Amino acid sequence: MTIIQNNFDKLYTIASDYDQPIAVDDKMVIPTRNLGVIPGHPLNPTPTETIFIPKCYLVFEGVKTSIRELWHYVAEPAESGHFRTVESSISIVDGPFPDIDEPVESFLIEGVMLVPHAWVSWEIESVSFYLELDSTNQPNLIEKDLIQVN
Amino acid sequence: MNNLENAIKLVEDKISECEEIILDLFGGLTSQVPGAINYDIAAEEGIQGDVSQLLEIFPPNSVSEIIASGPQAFFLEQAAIILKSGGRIYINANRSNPFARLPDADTLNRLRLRVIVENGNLEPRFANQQFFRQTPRPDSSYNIPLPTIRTTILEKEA
Repeated sequence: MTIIQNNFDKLYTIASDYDQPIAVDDKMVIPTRNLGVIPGHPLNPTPTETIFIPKCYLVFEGVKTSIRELWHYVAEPAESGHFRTVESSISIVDGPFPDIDEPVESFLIEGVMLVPHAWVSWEIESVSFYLELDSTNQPNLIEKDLIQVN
Repeated sequence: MNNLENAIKLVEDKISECEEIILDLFGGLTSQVPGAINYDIAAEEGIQGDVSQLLEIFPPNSVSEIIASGPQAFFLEQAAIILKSGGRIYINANRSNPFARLPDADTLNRLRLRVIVENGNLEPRFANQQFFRQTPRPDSSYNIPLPTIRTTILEKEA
C-alpha cells in the first residue's frame, strides 16, 4: 500500500471521477479515478508532464466540514456520450462530523461525480490529507499510463 | 499547423504586417477567441505545440494578449517573455487548477507581471465560450459549468 501525505497542491483533480465518499467518524475517503499528479509531486518524477493515476483514494482525517456543490449532467443529445450541466446547482452538506478542536485546512477538489452524475466543486475542511494508491496500481502500470498533456 | 518552421513563419508574417498577435494558449482543437492564434498540443487549427516551444515560435515582446483557458501546464515564465509591455494575460480556470495559481510576489516581480484581478468572476468577454475538462482518456466529454470558472488578469509592466 502506498500512501503519500500532504502534497495536495500538486494534484490535478479536474479530470478525475469520484465515487460516493465513505465517512467513518471524522475520516472521509473518496474513491477516485484518473487523478492527475503534476511535476513536483512524489509520484511524478518528470519535469513537465502530468501523470494520471487510474485508481486511488483521497483520505481526509479530522474532517470538520464537507460541502459539495453539484451541477447535474444530462446527455446532449441523448446517448451521445456528450454531457452538459443543467444551469442551477444544488449543495450537499455531508456529515455531521465530530467536533474538531485542532486547526483545519481547506481543500478544494473538482471533477465529475459518478452518482449522482454531476460536476462537483467540493470543499473539505480537515486536519490532514493523504493520498492512498489502490493496490491494483502497480508502479509500472502508472508508468504506462503516463500521458503528456502540456 | 504541425511544423515548427510553418509556425515561426506565421508569426513572422504577422509581425512584419504589424498585425496584433492574440494568443489562445491551451485553446484546444480550435480557438473560441475571435482573431486569436490557437496554440495547443492537440491543435487542429493554429499551432500545435507545447509550452516549452513557445519561445522558439514567438519572439520576446511580440504578443499583445494571451488567453489561457483551463491551463494544462505551467506557462507564466514563457508567457511573460513573449508578452509585450502593457499586454495582458487572462487565465480562465477552475480554482482547483494548480496551473492557474499565481506564483509568489517575488516571481511576479521578476516576470514584470502585476495582478489586475485574481480569481474574479469569469470575464464577460469569455462568457460565450464553452469549457470542457481535458482528459487524456478516450471517454465522454463533459462541459464545466461557467460559475466554477474564475478569471485572473495579469499585466506586464513597461
